[in-house]
Amino acid sequence: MASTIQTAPYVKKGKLGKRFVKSIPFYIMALPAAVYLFINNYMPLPGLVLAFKDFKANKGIYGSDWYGFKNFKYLFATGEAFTITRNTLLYNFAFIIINTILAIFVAILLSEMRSKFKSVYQSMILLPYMISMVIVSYLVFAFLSTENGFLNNTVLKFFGKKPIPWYSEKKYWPFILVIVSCWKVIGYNCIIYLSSILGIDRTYYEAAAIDGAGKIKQITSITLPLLKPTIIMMTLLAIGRIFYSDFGLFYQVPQNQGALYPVTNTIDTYVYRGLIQNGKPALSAAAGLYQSFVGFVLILTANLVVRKIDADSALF
Amino acid sequence: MFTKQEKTFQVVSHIVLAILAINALLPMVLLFMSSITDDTTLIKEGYKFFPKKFSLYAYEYVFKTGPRVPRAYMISVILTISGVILSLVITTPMAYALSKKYVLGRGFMNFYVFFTMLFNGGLVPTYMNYTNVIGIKNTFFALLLPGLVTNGMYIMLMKSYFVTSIPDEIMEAARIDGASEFKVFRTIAIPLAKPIITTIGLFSGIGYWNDWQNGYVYLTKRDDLYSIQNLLNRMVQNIQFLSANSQNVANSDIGLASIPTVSIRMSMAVLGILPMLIAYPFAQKAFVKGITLGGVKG
Amino acid sequence: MRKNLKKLFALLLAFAMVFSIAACTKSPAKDDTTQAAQESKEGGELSAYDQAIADRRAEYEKTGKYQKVVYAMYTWIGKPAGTERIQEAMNVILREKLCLEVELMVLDFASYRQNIQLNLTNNDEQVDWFGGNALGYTASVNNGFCYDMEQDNLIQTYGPGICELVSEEYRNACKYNGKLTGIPPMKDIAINCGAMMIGKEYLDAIGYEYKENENQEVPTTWDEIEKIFTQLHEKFPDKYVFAVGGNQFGQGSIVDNIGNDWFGVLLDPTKDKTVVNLFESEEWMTMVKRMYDWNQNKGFMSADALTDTTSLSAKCKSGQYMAMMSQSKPGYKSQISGECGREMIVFILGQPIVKSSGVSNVITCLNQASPDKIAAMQFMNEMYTDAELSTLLVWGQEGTDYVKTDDGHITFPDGVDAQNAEWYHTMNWSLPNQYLAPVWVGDPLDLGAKTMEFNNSAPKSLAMGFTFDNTEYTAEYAALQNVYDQYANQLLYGFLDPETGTKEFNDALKAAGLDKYIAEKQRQLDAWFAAQ
Repeated sequence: MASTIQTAPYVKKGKLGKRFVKSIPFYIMALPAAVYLFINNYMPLPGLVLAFKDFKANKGIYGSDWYGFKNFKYLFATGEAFTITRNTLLYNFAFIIINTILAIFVAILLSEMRSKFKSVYQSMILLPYMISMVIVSYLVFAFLSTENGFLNNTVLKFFGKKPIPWYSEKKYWPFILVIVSCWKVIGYNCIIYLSSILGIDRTYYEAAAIDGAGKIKQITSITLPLLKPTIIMMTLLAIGRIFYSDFGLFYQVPQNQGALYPVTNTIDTYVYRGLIQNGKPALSAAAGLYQSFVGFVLILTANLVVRKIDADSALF
Repeated sequence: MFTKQEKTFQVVSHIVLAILAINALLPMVLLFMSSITDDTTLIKEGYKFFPKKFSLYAYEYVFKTGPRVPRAYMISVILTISGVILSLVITTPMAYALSKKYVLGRGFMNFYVFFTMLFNGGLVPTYMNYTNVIGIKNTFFALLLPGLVTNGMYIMLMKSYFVTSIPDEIMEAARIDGASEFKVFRTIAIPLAKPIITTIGLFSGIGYWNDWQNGYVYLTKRDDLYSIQNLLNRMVQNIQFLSANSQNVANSDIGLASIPTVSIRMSMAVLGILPMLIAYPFAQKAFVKGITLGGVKG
Repeated sequence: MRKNLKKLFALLLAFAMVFSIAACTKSPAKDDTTQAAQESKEGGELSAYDQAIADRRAEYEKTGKYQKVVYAMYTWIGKPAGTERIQEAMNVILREKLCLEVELMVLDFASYRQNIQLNLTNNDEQVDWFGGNALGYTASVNNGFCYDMEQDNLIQTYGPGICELVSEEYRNACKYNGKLTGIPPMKDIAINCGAMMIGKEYLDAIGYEYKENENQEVPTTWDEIEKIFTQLHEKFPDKYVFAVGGNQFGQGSIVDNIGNDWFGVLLDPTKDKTVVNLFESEEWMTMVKRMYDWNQNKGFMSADALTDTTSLSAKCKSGQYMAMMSQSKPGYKSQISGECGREMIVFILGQPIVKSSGVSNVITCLNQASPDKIAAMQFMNEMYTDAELSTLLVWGQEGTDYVKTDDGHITFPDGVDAQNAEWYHTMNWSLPNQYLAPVWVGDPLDLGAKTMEFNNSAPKSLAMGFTFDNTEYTAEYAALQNVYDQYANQLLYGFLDPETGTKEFNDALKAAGLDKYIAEKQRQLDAWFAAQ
């Protein structure tokens, strides 16, 4: 547990020199990843200036003329800016809440399962994560297509209901998208929480059982509190990507249907449609920088709040 | 002995999990069934669990036009195995180092990792970096290195596991015995971190297996290095472009008439994930064993 | 297998070297390929064209290396197995004629755009010629990828054959801000708009009588088509009549979407120079009303028409759909019949026309970073004029990749088919001059002549060659395109009430800045007319 580290005898803050010497082995351990991240993530960073350039091939990225914020203009200039920002934010909030709760729920069920089926369930739930969104969009179409869809042809028919033109009724789509997203990522998220639960010392549970605590009590008083750091971390990370949206989920799954735009158009799909003919790298760089920057500000704020409440769980 | 509450809990768990599992599985069955449906039937009747007419033509077509399929599978296997190993070798020690509160400059190191999760240079600068500076275009390393070796999330997840789940007392005991930090890490921390290492290994394995983008960006002259997902993706996209542009194409009837345009998408999805599904349980077992052994040996 | 192939290559290479050294050291005056140049020769002085070759020869003798020209082409099948062989066969000719070598950089269409765009941004690999249309011609020019081929009279001096084949009118139609940033291949640039294809068997079943003209087309009217569709619907209630797809105004009418977008068009491009809003026009209302009627009242279409992305010809091939719409050109009937797997009758609702983008919608561009632009241009000149080279590039080598039939067509040799062929890419239309090569079985032998006649006889849009620079209007464009994607297909496929839907559509477009965008288009168009 986190608190045990703080009480470890050799942690004596203040003696910088000694701390440094003690830290050297850990610097060495961190080095390979630090070098990789430097090459993979930091070295290309200066390229971000592309977002502020009037790019011309013969001048190169750095030699092209400055363009100010003109490349960003298309993201804000119109009334659509509100809709796409709202959609992006609301869906991400919904995903964060629903996917987290469900993933934890399933992870707990799996961790408490005493059966051979455990790994079977686990692998099966992970299945959807392995296929691409394009394929998911075909499968969704198989269920929702107006003429041949499984829902209209089998389910609704069975109940004697009229077929529904799913792809032109926008009211269903917030739910459909949340369900599809959940279906696809639940296995992935659940494994993250599961690995955290598996790391919990079993003696806690044994002690609780001796004290007469039932399953539910054990879960609420041991599992959930110990999962808190992981939950907070996952949520913070999701907040950092709150201005991004899964392009496949919002473009391919609704089959790019115009009637659904009011509830499916997000920043990423808007940018895609606006740039498909215009292929200027500077414009897409601007969109990416905008999304990253907002995420960065939000995550810094959220992290500050977390640090105030529970310093151990903060990201940094 | 199971208490009554325990029993109810188990039963409810089974029911809930079974429902979820079936939910996940049914669309996959549909995917498979439509991949063995006759193409024309598929267009006529849509995707069905029990199609009227079966056909293996889509698979036949893939293997006939893509003589490189077996080779691409091999590349994918090599890539995934080497990728997972490299990823874990790099991620685990960094995460372990970050989990130690007394490490000087830990705050900075955390931020250094975290920052990479939000900002990246974008496609063009990344491409220029890997092509001009690192020089891996048209090599196997172009599939292995860009974007996949590790990322902030893996490091953070692992770090959080080390912080919460590995009691420092055990390690302290080892230190008193005179073991170096590296030895403590190898012999105590790693075996205890098995669950998270398996998880990150799995994620990174899925990432490598499914990646087709690096191949798109960095392989312009080495089609012998195409991974299976890259190859299949190219085939699907080419067929899509071909049918969209058929007005332009001379003799398009010769090529187009023989392509099962709809069922081929499904068969390719199946071909893409099937090997992973088959290998997954075995790989996981071998993997856990490997970690245990590695820990003990060290 | 591979080893043997390598040996073969090495041998070929050795042969080629011997030949080419001989070729390169040959006195240029004796070289029969430079006849044209000889005429312009005065007092033993070489023309600029020959001088360039002579210079390369001198360079070659010094270094033993040929200047390389890289031609980046795209196919549907990636790099065909025969690429190296074809390249070597071409180089045997090129070394002798121009003292240079070509490298065929063949990429899938799937990755071409990304690969080439990255490469042109970074220039880490040599690329001389690339397909501008695959990257988006406007985008290529705006990113500064394309070299102005008229700079220092490059194309006039080193590409005389191209200038002869691609008339000045067509070259002007490829210009962007007065610069020749691309050249079109020899292909059909006119379209016969409004081609409605109906399966013959269905027409026979309802006993419909028709008469095909010499182009295997049947001129007709929308009302007549509606009559046919109604009968077809009665006869085959279980099938869908019409596989709707694409934009009916793009293929089905002479309306010219100048600047390659629908925000400001010329309704009658052969006569009228005013840029108007298509979506407020009578033509638009008539069309969407008809489609709404066809879809909602007459039941000609599938309820999934908007969502089912299966290609139209695949739908017709499945036997579930009876008709589709596209645009026609010489030889189209046999092509579409093959695609649909049944004989299709081509009805024509419109007329032939060359639209503003007709010339530039398939275009080859010269990279601004090309290391030797003179060599690159001379290479391209040969590709437009040398039948042997063109045949190699289009169909490969006789005997291995194709054989002649008795009537003068060509076809696969025994044992070769579309799937195991080493060089069968069907990308003729994107290559410089497909009409120098023999004609494949199925197409008329005089396809080239017919196509050229078709191109020349079709009326041309007044704005032919006008390109709209919307760099300053990216914000409006992005917003307009989003609105267009939201409404256009719903209206064109008859899923939205024509009156109220069109009104909503127009309101949204106006809110997105349509008026401003159209005004700018008109301004640029006027300026362009003034400059002509």
